[in-house]
Amino acid sequence: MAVKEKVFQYPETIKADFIQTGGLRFSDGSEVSAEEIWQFLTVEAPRRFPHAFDASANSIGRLSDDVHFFAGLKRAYLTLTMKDRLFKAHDNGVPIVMIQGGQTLDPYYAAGGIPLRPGYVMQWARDVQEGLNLRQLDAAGLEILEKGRRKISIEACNQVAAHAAVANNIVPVDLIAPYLCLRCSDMSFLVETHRYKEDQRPKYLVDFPINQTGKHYTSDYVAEQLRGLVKEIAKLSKKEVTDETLRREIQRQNKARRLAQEIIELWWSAEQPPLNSTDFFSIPFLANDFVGDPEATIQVLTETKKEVAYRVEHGIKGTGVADKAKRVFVCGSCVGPNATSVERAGAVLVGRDDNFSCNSVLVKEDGDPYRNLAEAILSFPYELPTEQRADWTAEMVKKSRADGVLFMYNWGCNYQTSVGRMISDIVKEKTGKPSTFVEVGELGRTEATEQSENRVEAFIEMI
Amino acid sequence: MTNTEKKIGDVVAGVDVGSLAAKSVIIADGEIIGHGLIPSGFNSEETGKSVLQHALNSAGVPREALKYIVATGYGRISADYANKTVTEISCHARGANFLYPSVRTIIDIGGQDCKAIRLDSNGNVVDFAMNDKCAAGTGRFLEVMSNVFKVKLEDLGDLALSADSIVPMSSTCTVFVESETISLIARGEKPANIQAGIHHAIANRISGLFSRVGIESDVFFSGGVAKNKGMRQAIAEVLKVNIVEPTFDPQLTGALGAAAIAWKNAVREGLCQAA
Repeated sequence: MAVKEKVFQYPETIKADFIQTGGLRFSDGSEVSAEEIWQFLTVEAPRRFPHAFDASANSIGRLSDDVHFFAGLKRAYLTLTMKDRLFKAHDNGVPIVMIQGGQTLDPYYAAGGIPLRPGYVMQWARDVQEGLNLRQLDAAGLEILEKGRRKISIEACNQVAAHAAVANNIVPVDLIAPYLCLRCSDMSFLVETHRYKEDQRPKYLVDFPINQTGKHYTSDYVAEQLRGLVKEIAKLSKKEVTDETLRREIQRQNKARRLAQEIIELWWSAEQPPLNSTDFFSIPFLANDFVGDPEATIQVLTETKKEVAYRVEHGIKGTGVADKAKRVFVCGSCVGPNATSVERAGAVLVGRDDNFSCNSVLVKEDGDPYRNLAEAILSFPYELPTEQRADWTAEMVKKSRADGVLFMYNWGCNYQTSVGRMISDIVKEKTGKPSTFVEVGELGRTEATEQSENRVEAFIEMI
Repeated sequence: MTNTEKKIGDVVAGVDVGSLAAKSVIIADGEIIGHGLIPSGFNSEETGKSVLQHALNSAGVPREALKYIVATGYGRISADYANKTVTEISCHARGANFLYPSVRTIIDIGGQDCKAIRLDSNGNVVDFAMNDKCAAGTGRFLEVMSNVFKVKLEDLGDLALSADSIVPMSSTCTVFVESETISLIARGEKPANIQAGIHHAIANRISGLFSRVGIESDVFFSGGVAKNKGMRQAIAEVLKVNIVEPTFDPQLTGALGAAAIAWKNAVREGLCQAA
């Protein structure tokens, strides 16, 4: 029996309305019109990235079916053109910096770099070769992962794949500069990847003194490291970075953080979920990763807020969300449930502790920008000691009116494995909502995900 | 109305295509009237249709008489013939509730996974835990052992019950236990004692799942491995619980639960009349 294939496409009937919405401006001063975006999404992208248009398989990264959410189309455009923009920026001397999740991106952009989390590095690496269908994309990702595993260990977290992509020069990354925050105990694997003599690219590791929070010297310590980080990036970008430069960047990124908070609050306030799980889950990523371009991404967030407000006011529901959908809050890093299969099972994803954390703290805009950043970083709720993190998560579960809590972590993630049960128990105790946790071994995979989907579906049936 | 007319009028089915075996149960008017059990083939959809036909044949009713079908198990993703799909976790709970309404805890050991399930008085799941990506504590694990001992899978239980002592196993990994077993045989240890040790190792593995969801009597043991008397005894000893005696093939529990859900849905949608 052949696997059934369904190809997603944007319907021509929405074109006229979409091209009225205006185009996007980018950080390098270039612009693209809505008509050009439409042309890309309907002609060029299906040819270059057919995997993204596969609507039949268990693709976690598939495009949203909500074609009338036009800001969502622009987000898809940003995602699918990320590769082109990164190569162009790199060719123009903009340093690409590999970072870790749970960070503020302000110092990286202020210093003239483009920071990328491992997930985006992997997306970039897998998209280097074009024309791949979903299975071929999976195979390409697995090939890179095995390069990393051969150097480190089969027990290494799958994120080692992103570092293998860098170490093997599949994508040109100029600096490895993550915060060593507690979310990822497998950081040692990642650092190990770059210790080999053949990888000469510079590294700058930002220490994260989680056990020293609340002490007067901790913010000074982190602030000093951030000064060093900015200098390291500026050496590569050859950009002069003053305190005022960083202050302006903080103002810009606070705007994104505020927009994300407002959109999330709007979504939570609605009787009917105004965006489906795929679109809603993209919001915190947009506001904290910017798909490599804050300027264009803030425009998409602004348009998202406008469209969500309209939908909330008129009781419009996101495409794919079931009537009386069960509400699932997701905990954990790096992996999450397949949004499409969650909705098929009659539920909707209402929040995620990891990515909501980064947007939940606004950075002070006056005074020493490095110290302000340090204070913000040290108060990200997801990076706090486990009980405090669980308390914050319980509040999010209440605010989002979730019916259940799903904790997911990747096989090999020692840290999330160890705190998952404790967080689930505390959240269950404080909210009275059922919780479960699921270990998966498929980070970055798009096929053979039935094992984890089965557990998620059973949990949804239970709630 | 004759019995035959009643059956043809109000018949539903549950189909459970698992990793190793496919099962189907036919219910008429809320009562079991037929069932089928075949090995899972390579084509989930064909296997599902085939086991359904086996069950229909045993019930003596035509395919056209079916008012509702619920599919479960890993093969449910290829079940276009079904009205609805439900995970096997919910189906085992409903199946156990159908047979024993007093049951509040289920141990399910299938071909490639094991589960601890807690349920309420209506057969709804209230909590569950599954093994992660490891074959220890599954039917496949026992298949490997039956190969080592050169005995039929269904004879492993009697073999373990003839043990005069239990050999403690130091591993839970299927491959390591296999090599450990070969070393024990070479040392002259009795196969019965080794097998009893393996059953206890699996039971210990299962008890870890219950540390997450809790345990409350009565306990029902479902899935193909529940036919293994040695395994039943080991679980009862390790968990210190009473396991209810099966009155219906425990391997069919998931399919039975699927049929029970099919019956409930068919009645709710007006396709069948409540008994």
